Amino acid sequence: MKRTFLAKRNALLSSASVSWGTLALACAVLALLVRLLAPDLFLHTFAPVFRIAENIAAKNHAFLSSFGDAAALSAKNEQLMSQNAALASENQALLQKVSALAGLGGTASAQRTAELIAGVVARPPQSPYDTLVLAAGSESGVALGMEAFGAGGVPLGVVSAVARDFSRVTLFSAPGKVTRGWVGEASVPIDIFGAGAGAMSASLARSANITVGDRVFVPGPGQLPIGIVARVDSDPSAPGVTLRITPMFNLFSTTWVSLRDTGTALQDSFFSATSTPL
Amino acid sequence: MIRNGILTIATFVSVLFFPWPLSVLLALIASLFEPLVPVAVGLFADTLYYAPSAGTLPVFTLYGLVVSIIAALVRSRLRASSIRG
Repeated sequence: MKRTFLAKRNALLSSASVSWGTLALACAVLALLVRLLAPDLFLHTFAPVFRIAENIAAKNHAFLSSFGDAAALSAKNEQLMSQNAALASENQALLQKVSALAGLGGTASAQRTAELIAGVVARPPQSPYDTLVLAAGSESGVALGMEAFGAGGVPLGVVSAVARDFSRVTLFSAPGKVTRGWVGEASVPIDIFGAGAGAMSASLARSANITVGDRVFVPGPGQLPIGIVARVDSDPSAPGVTLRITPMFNLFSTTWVSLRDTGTALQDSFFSATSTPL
Repeated sequence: MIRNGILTIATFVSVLFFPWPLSVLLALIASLFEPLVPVAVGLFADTLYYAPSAGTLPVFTLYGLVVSIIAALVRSRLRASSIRG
């Protein structure tokens, strides 16, 4: 006798039995496959979406900031203008120094020629891992390990993935990222740990006397400022202090970065080859 | 059913256009009705933004998976209980 197991044809795959969750999972897996098999096609597809997202984020920010207190904004503006004047004069002094040093070795002009400019397609908080997606890839000369610099030559991170037309920069603030640098006027050497969401931290001995407002530097050509000590966490039972570091400027508003090879990849490979894991 | 669809699509759109905390909130709300949505959205977020580097895990997929498992367990418990009769 013929037995009927299912009441209607295609009952196992009927539209009613496929939930929205299953559909969503299938779409996500499909997107993952496209990214793995054709990363450049994937980024070409999503780049316009990222650009629209950027515009929406900028409009939201402008809308929300319009509710701010006008008097406070005016005071802040005045303070920033005075700071800007101070920085402009400091910049002039540094330019003098650079031109003098360039006369000695000519290294500065050599580095300028190897610099690439790339537009930012996606950045935090849209890109939640403290990464930037750049509209420049291997076709434009981007290579793994190149360092990304923001406005004013502030180091931001290192290129961690390169496709033909796009690349990803992992910021120094990415969780798990360790960068060697210095802090304070005495250039105390520290290991800077990424804490996520643009923040960084570092531990050092209490006797180093680091205070809030001290600058944090990383190696570039010389010492380049990467952030400012925003808070010093001190536990009386511990011999050291923990520094909470904020970046020099808002990473979330970065639109253009410059890329150049500073030997970061070489330094990392050298360090991992010579250090003994604990 | 329409509510589930709108919630699922809104969560996916949020991953593309809005900061991640909003996407997390929407995924949590969607998990009440569709337990698979958090893991799907986590996977989609990692597909878009994850950059493999030392010490980083695809946390959105992992957290999404955890939330999906919890949501599925809670739903199965509710279904098996005498509340529904």
